[in-house]
Amino acid sequence: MIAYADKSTLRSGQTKAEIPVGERSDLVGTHYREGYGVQSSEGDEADEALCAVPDKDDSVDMEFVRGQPRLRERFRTLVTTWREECGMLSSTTQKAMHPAYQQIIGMGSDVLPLIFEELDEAPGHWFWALRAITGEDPVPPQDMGDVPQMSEVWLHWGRERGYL
Amino acid sequence: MPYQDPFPNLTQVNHRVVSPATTEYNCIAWAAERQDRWWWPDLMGTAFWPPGVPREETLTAFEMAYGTLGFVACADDGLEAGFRKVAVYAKTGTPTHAARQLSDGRWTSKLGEWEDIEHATLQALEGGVYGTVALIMRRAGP
Repeated sequence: MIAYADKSTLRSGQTKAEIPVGERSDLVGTHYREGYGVQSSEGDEADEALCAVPDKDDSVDMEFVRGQPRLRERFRTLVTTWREECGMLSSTTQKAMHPAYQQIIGMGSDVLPLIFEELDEAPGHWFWALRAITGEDPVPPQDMGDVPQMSEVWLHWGRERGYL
Repeated sequence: MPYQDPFPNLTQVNHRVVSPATTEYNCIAWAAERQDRWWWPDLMGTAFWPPGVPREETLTAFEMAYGTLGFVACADDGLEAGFRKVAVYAKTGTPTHAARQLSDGRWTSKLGEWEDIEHATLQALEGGVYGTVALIMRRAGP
Protein backbone atom coordinates (compact mmCIF):
# COMPACT_ATOMS: atom_id res chain seq x y z
CA MET A 1 0.00 0.00 0.00
CA ILE A 2 1.39 3.38 -0.94
CA ALA A 3 0.86 6.30 1.39
CA TYR A 4 1.56 9.91 0.42
CA ALA A 5 1.94 11.22 3.94
CA ASP A 6 3.11 9.96 7.24
CA LYS A 7 0.17 8.39 9.00
CA SER A 8 1.39 9.95 12.21
CA THR A 9 -0.30 13.09 10.92
CA LEU A 10 -3.65 11.42 11.51
CA ARG A 11 -5.20 10.76 14.85
CA SER A 12 -6.24 7.23 15.69
CA GLY A 13 -9.13 6.14 13.49
CA GLN A 14 -9.24 9.44 11.66
CA THR A 15 -9.32 9.83 7.89
CA LYS A 16 -7.88 12.82 6.03
CA ALA A 17 -11.36 14.17 5.31
CA GLU A 18 -11.90 14.54 9.05
CA ILE A 19 -8.87 16.74 9.62
CA PRO A 20 -9.74 20.43 9.91
CA VAL A 21 -8.49 22.38 6.90
CA GLY A 22 -6.17 24.49 8.99
CA GLU A 23 -4.41 21.39 10.26
CA ARG A 24 -3.79 19.88 6.84
CA SER A 25 -0.92 22.01 5.69
CA ASP A 26 1.51 19.20 6.25
CA LEU A 27 -0.47 17.03 3.88
CA VAL A 28 -1.32 19.50 1.12
CA GLY A 29 1.01 19.17 -1.80
CA THR A 30 2.37 15.78 -0.86
CA HIS A 31 -0.83 14.25 -2.15
CA TYR A 32 -0.26 15.36 -5.74
CA ARG A 33 3.35 14.48 -6.21
CA GLU A 34 4.22 11.73 -8.57
CA GLY A 35 6.07 9.16 -6.57
CA TYR A 36 8.91 11.03 -4.92
CA GLY A 37 9.81 9.76 -1.50
CA VAL A 38 6.61 7.79 -1.09
CA GLN A 39 6.37 5.53 1.89
CA SER A 40 5.09 2.00 2.04
CA SER A 41 2.84 0.73 4.77
CA GLU A 42 0.18 -1.88 5.27
CA GLY A 43 -3.27 -1.26 5.92
CA ASP A 44 -5.45 0.68 8.27
CA GLU A 45 -8.23 3.10 7.40
CA ALA A 46 -5.95 6.07 7.62
CA ASP A 47 -3.67 4.63 4.98
CA GLU A 48 -6.65 3.76 2.78
CA ALA A 49 -7.77 7.36 2.94
CA LEU A 50 -4.34 8.64 1.97
CA CYS A 51 -3.91 6.26 -0.90
CA ALA A 52 -6.32 7.89 -3.34
CA VAL A 53 -4.72 8.20 -6.77
CA PRO A 54 -4.13 11.87 -7.68
CA ASP A 55 -6.99 12.96 -9.89
CA LYS A 56 -8.32 16.41 -10.62
CA ASP A 57 -11.89 15.14 -10.60
CA ASP A 58 -11.69 13.31 -7.31
CA SER A 59 -14.04 15.18 -5.00
CA VAL A 60 -12.17 14.09 -1.90
CA ASP A 61 -8.93 15.35 -3.39
CA MET A 62 -10.52 18.69 -4.28
CA GLU A 63 -11.62 19.08 -0.69
CA PHE A 64 -8.15 18.12 0.36
CA VAL A 65 -6.63 21.12 -1.42
CA ARG A 66 -9.52 23.49 -0.69
CA GLY A 67 -8.21 27.02 -0.36
CA GLN A 68 -4.77 26.00 -1.59
CA PRO A 69 -3.53 26.53 -5.14
CA ARG A 70 -2.10 23.43 -6.68
CA LEU A 71 1.58 22.93 -6.00
CA ARG A 72 2.83 23.80 -9.48
CA GLU A 73 0.56 26.85 -9.77
CA ARG A 74 1.62 28.10 -6.37
CA PHE A 75 5.27 27.52 -7.20
CA ARG A 76 4.98 29.44 -10.48
CA THR A 77 3.34 32.36 -8.73
CA LEU A 78 6.05 32.46 -6.07
CA VAL A 79 8.84 32.22 -8.65
CA THR A 80 7.35 35.10 -10.64
CA THR A 81 7.10 37.27 -7.53
CA TRP A 82 10.61 36.36 -6.44
CA ARG A 83 12.11 37.14 -9.84
CA GLU A 84 10.29 40.47 -10.08
CA GLU A 85 11.35 41.60 -6.66
CA CYS A 86 14.84 40.10 -6.39
CA GLY A 87 16.20 40.00 -9.94
CA MET A 88 18.20 43.18 -9.40
CA LEU A 89 19.78 41.95 -6.15
CA SER A 90 23.32 40.62 -5.89
CA SER A 91 22.94 39.44 -2.33
CA THR A 92 22.21 35.74 -2.30
CA THR A 93 21.15 36.21 1.32
CA GLN A 94 18.54 38.81 0.41
CA LYS A 95 17.34 36.65 -2.45
CA ALA A 96 16.97 33.65 -0.17
CA MET A 97 15.30 35.59 2.64
CA HIS A 98 12.59 36.97 0.37
CA PRO A 99 9.16 35.75 1.52
CA ALA A 100 8.40 34.09 -1.81
CA TYR A 101 11.66 32.12 -1.72
CA GLN A 102 11.06 31.19 1.90
CA GLN A 103 7.61 29.91 1.01
CA ILE A 104 9.15 27.77 -1.71
CA ILE A 105 11.58 26.31 0.82
CA GLY A 106 8.64 25.76 3.13
CA MET A 107 6.96 23.58 0.53
CA GLY A 108 9.56 20.99 1.37
CA SER A 109 10.68 18.05 -0.69
CA ASP A 110 7.49 18.05 -2.76
CA VAL A 111 8.76 21.11 -4.59
CA LEU A 112 12.12 19.58 -5.55
CA PRO A 113 10.96 18.31 -8.97
CA LEU A 114 9.75 21.83 -9.82
CA ILE A 115 12.99 23.43 -8.68
CA PHE A 116 14.97 20.97 -10.76
CA GLU A 117 12.75 21.77 -13.75
CA GLU A 118 13.60 25.44 -13.27
CA LEU A 119 17.29 24.68 -12.97
CA ASP A 120 17.15 22.47 -16.06
CA GLU A 121 15.66 25.32 -18.09
CA ALA A 122 18.29 27.83 -17.05
CA PRO A 123 21.00 28.11 -14.38
CA GLY A 124 19.73 30.11 -11.44
CA HIS A 125 19.94 30.74 -7.74
CA TRP A 126 18.16 27.69 -6.42
CA PHE A 127 21.16 26.42 -4.47
CA TRP A 128 20.12 27.88 -1.13
CA ALA A 129 16.69 26.27 -1.42
CA LEU A 130 18.14 22.95 -2.53
CA ARG A 131 20.56 22.88 0.39
CA ALA A 132 17.87 23.92 2.85
CA ILE A 133 15.36 21.33 1.66
CA THR A 134 17.67 18.38 1.08
CA GLY A 135 20.29 19.00 3.74
CA GLU A 136 22.85 18.10 1.11
CA ASP A 137 25.58 20.05 -0.66
CA PRO A 138 27.03 18.15 -3.62
CA VAL A 139 28.91 21.20 -4.97
CA PRO A 140 32.69 20.95 -4.46
CA PRO A 141 34.32 24.04 -2.92
CA GLN A 142 36.18 24.92 -6.12
CA ASP A 143 32.86 25.35 -7.97
CA MET A 144 31.34 27.71 -5.43
CA GLY A 145 29.82 30.67 -7.26
CA ASP A 146 30.15 29.08 -10.70
CA VAL A 147 26.42 29.13 -11.36
CA PRO A 148 26.34 26.99 -14.54
CA GLN A 149 28.63 24.39 -12.97
CA MET A 150 26.73 24.39 -9.68
CA SER A 151 23.52 23.93 -11.64
CA GLU A 152 25.02 20.94 -13.48
CA VAL A 153 26.17 19.36 -10.23
CA TRP A 154 22.74 19.74 -8.67
CA LEU A 155 20.98 18.48 -11.79
CA HIS A 156 23.17 15.40 -11.74
CA TRP A 157 22.29 14.94 -8.07
CA GLY A 158 18.59 15.34 -8.87
CA ARG A 159 18.68 12.92 -11.79
CA GLU A 160 20.40 10.26 -9.70
CA ARG A 161 17.54 10.48 -7.23
CA GLY A 162 14.72 10.52 -9.76
CA TYR A 163 13.65 14.13 -9.44
CA LEU A 164 14.15 14.75 -13.16
CA MET B 1 9.62 43.39 0.58
CA PRO B 2 6.95 45.23 -1.38
CA TYR B 3 7.67 45.66 -5.07
CA GLN B 4 8.81 49.16 -5.79
CA ASP B 5 10.85 51.09 -8.29
CA PRO B 6 14.31 49.72 -7.48
CA PHE B 7 16.20 52.64 -9.07
CA PRO B 8 14.30 55.90 -8.73
CA ASN B 9 17.26 58.00 -9.92
CA LEU B 10 17.86 56.03 -13.10
CA THR B 11 16.57 57.81 -16.19
CA GLN B 12 16.63 57.22 -19.92
CA VAL B 13 19.42 59.74 -20.31
CA ASN B 14 21.77 58.85 -17.45
CA HIS B 15 22.43 55.22 -18.30
CA ARG B 16 22.62 52.71 -21.11
CA VAL B 17 22.44 48.92 -21.17
CA VAL B 18 25.66 47.38 -22.45
CA SER B 19 25.22 43.61 -22.15
CA PRO B 20 22.46 41.04 -21.72
CA ALA B 21 21.11 39.72 -18.42
CA THR B 22 22.85 36.68 -16.96
CA THR B 23 22.91 34.77 -13.70
CA GLU B 24 26.57 33.83 -14.14
CA TYR B 25 28.07 36.82 -12.36
CA ASN B 26 26.93 39.76 -10.30
CA CYS B 27 27.93 43.34 -9.59
CA ILE B 28 30.60 42.40 -7.06
CA ALA B 29 32.33 40.18 -9.61
CA TRP B 30 31.77 42.70 -12.43
CA ALA B 31 33.39 45.47 -10.39
CA ALA B 32 36.33 43.12 -9.86
CA GLU B 33 36.42 42.52 -13.63
CA ARG B 34 35.44 38.89 -13.22
CA GLN B 35 32.62 37.26 -15.17
CA ASP B 36 32.97 33.62 -14.17
CA ARG B 37 31.56 33.62 -10.65
CA TRP B 38 28.77 35.05 -8.53
CA TRP B 39 30.46 36.78 -5.59
CA TRP B 40 28.77 37.08 -2.23
CA PRO B 41 29.73 36.17 1.35
CA ASP B 42 26.53 34.30 2.18
CA LEU B 43 26.73 31.91 5.09
CA MET B 44 25.07 29.12 3.13
CA GLY B 45 28.13 29.04 0.89
CA THR B 46 26.26 29.33 -2.39
CA ALA B 47 28.53 31.99 -3.90
CA PHE B 48 32.22 32.66 -4.36
CA TRP B 49 34.10 34.75 -1.84
CA PRO B 50 37.85 35.37 -1.90
CA PRO B 51 39.69 32.84 0.27
CA GLY B 52 40.83 34.25 3.58
CA VAL B 53 38.23 37.02 3.66
CA PRO B 54 35.48 36.67 6.30
CA ARG B 55 32.13 35.56 4.88
CA GLU B 56 30.38 38.52 6.45
CA GLU B 57 28.01 41.01 4.89
CA THR B 58 29.94 43.97 6.23
CA LEU B 59 31.76 46.85 4.59
CA THR B 60 34.94 45.65 6.24
CA ALA B 61 34.64 42.25 4.57
CA PHE B 62 33.94 43.88 1.19
CA GLU B 63 36.91 46.19 1.64
CA MET B 64 39.05 43.13 2.37
CA ALA B 65 37.63 41.30 -0.65
CA TYR B 66 38.58 44.10 -3.05
CA GLY B 67 41.79 44.48 -1.11
CA THR B 68 42.81 41.03 -2.35
CA LEU B 69 42.82 42.60 -5.83
CA GLY B 70 44.96 45.54 -4.79
CA PHE B 71 42.25 48.11 -4.10
CA VAL B 72 42.60 50.43 -1.12
CA ALA B 73 40.05 52.81 0.35
CA CYS B 74 40.16 56.39 -0.92
CA ALA B 75 38.34 59.63 -0.33
CA ASP B 76 36.32 60.39 -3.45
CA ASP B 77 34.83 59.04 -6.63
CA GLY B 78 36.48 61.51 -9.00
CA LEU B 79 38.44 60.35 -12.00
CA GLU B 80 42.17 60.16 -11.19
CA ALA B 81 44.77 59.53 -13.84
CA GLY B 82 46.52 56.20 -13.29
CA PHE B 83 43.84 54.76 -10.99
CA ARG B 84 40.83 52.51 -11.34
CA LYS B 85 38.07 52.80 -8.74
CA VAL B 86 35.27 50.71 -7.36
CA ALA B 87 32.36 51.90 -5.25
CA VAL B 88 30.44 49.79 -2.75
CA TYR B 89 26.84 50.69 -1.96
CA ALA B 90 25.19 49.82 1.32
CA LYS B 91 21.76 50.02 2.86
CA THR B 92 21.48 50.30 6.64
CA GLY B 93 25.14 49.38 6.82
CA THR B 94 24.87 46.19 4.78
CA PRO B 95 26.60 46.07 1.40
CA THR B 96 24.20 45.72 -1.52
CA HIS B 97 26.01 46.59 -4.72
CA ALA B 98 29.31 47.56 -6.34
CA ALA B 99 30.18 49.63 -9.40
CA ARG B 100 33.43 50.05 -11.33
CA GLN B 101 34.73 53.28 -12.79
CA LEU B 102 35.45 53.42 -16.50
CA SER B 103 38.37 55.26 -18.03
CA ASP B 104 36.16 58.21 -18.99
CA GLY B 105 34.90 58.67 -15.44
CA ARG B 106 31.54 57.01 -16.01
CA TRP B 107 30.61 53.89 -14.05
CA THR B 108 29.55 50.39 -14.97
CA SER B 109 27.27 48.15 -12.93
CA LYS B 110 25.77 44.70 -13.19
CA LEU B 111 22.26 44.88 -11.79
CA GLY B 112 21.95 41.57 -9.95
CA GLU B 113 20.80 39.03 -12.52
CA TRP B 114 19.82 41.81 -14.88
CA GLU B 115 21.93 43.59 -17.46
CA ASP B 116 25.23 45.45 -17.19
CA ILE B 117 24.75 49.15 -17.55
CA GLU B 118 26.89 52.25 -17.82
CA HIS B 119 25.75 55.13 -15.68
CA ALA B 120 26.96 58.68 -15.61
CA THR B 121 27.21 58.99 -11.84
CA LEU B 122 27.14 56.78 -8.76
CA GLN B 123 24.07 58.67 -7.60
CA ALA B 124 22.09 57.22 -10.52
CA LEU B 125 21.76 53.95 -8.58
CA GLU B 126 21.22 55.47 -5.15
CA GLY B 127 17.96 55.89 -3.32
CA GLY B 128 16.39 52.56 -4.15
CA VAL B 129 17.21 49.00 -3.25
CA TYR B 130 20.97 49.65 -3.21
CA GLY B 131 20.93 52.46 -0.66
CA THR B 132 23.87 54.84 -0.94
CA VAL B 133 27.58 54.72 -1.74
CA ALA B 134 29.43 53.78 1.43
CA LEU B 135 32.97 52.94 0.28
CA ILE B 136 35.24 54.06 -2.55
CA MET B 137 38.43 52.15 -3.33
CA ARG B 138 41.14 52.58 -5.92
CA ARG B 139 44.12 50.78 -7.34
CA ALA B 140 46.80 51.76 -9.80
CA GLY B 141 45.99 50.78 -13.35
CA PRO B 142 45.20 52.07 -16.79
